Amino acid sequence: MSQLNPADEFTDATKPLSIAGHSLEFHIGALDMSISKAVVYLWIGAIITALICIGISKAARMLPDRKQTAFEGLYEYVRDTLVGAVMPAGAAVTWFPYIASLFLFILISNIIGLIPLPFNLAEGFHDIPEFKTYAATANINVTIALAAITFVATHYSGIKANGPIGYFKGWAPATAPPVLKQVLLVLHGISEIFRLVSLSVRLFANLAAGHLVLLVFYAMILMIQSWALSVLIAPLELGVVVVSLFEIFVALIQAYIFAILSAVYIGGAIHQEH
Amino acid sequence: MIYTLITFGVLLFVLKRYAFGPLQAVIDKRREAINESIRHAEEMNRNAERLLAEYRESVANAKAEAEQIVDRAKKVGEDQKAEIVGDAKAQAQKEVESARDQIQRETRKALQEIKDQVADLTVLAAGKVAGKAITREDHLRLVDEALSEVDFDQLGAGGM
Repeated sequence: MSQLNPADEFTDATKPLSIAGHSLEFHIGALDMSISKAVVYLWIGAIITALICIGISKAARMLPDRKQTAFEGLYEYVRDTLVGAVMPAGAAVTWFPYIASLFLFILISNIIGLIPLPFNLAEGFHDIPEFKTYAATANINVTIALAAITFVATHYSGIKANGPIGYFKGWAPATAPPVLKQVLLVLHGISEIFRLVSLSVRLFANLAAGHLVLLVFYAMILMIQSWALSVLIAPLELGVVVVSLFEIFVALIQAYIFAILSAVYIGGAIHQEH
Repeated sequence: MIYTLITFGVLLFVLKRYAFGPLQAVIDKRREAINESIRHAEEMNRNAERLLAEYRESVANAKAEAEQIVDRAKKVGEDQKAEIVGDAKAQAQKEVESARDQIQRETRKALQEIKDQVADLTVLAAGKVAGKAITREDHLRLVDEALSEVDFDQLGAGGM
């Protein structure tokens, strides 16, 4: 039995998968288009998000049932509170689908991350697949891509709403002395870059850390080699349960934070206040 | 990272096209239906209020009319009562008076009879006492003289 190293779970996820001996490693020019576990999780998250949303929307009736009421509640919450409260009315209509998709996709990807799914079919114990948990959003590549979309959207909508000169002028307060203005302009530019970093790292780190903690608990259980230490199994399992419950909360709150910060950044760029 | 952009791009398109759009349409349709219902309910409410006011007015009118009718009936009744009582009183008065007349007539008749008998008896007695007969005309004159001193009217009146 190989030693379980929690950190391996994350590096393994980005390795190309293989089906029936065929490696799914692809390259388009310099781009690595290999299909890894991380990519599959991305697709699972997107497909489940789309199926849930389309399924509920298609079944939407004038007189809603419980499921529809719940989904409409979420929909209206995102539309009015998450987006509507931080953006001008016109921009809210434009950007609502983006923010809502972001929120739902991250939320569902986070939740899927808590469900053990069978992977490594070939490496399983006596052909029984290993059930493992992994979240698409526990991958920095995914979160940085999502944050990059928000980053581009922020500056695109800022320039569109205020004009290129007006937008970048708005980065420094109009009342500041000219010398200070240039410093503030540079500082604001740095802060914009760090928003991109903080947005992506916050989601990635929270999800990765949650999974790492769970994996550490599992690893500790597997490390128990003697009967005497087996009394520790029950408390460790309880730890897994408690952390899993907490991870559900983290899944929701991180999706919310990512979505509302995206909305705030885009809204702030459109309606500059200085 | 490329996969994320592609996947999320497709997801965004799909959700916008097939999920949020239709859902928003349903929500808008429902909102319109609710607004329509509210408008309809408000109109019904106004109608109901108007009808209620109308009914209140007609009920008040009916009440006043009923009071008038009752008052009139009361007045008619009282008039009739007064008339009946008046008639009865008049009738009673008439009866009492006729009774009194009759009594007086009877009394006079009785007195006349007494007077006649007294005259006859007196003539008889005086004849017996005087040993001679005086004419009936003399007697009658004497009796009248004697009786004129008695006030029979007063006697009759006292008897009443």
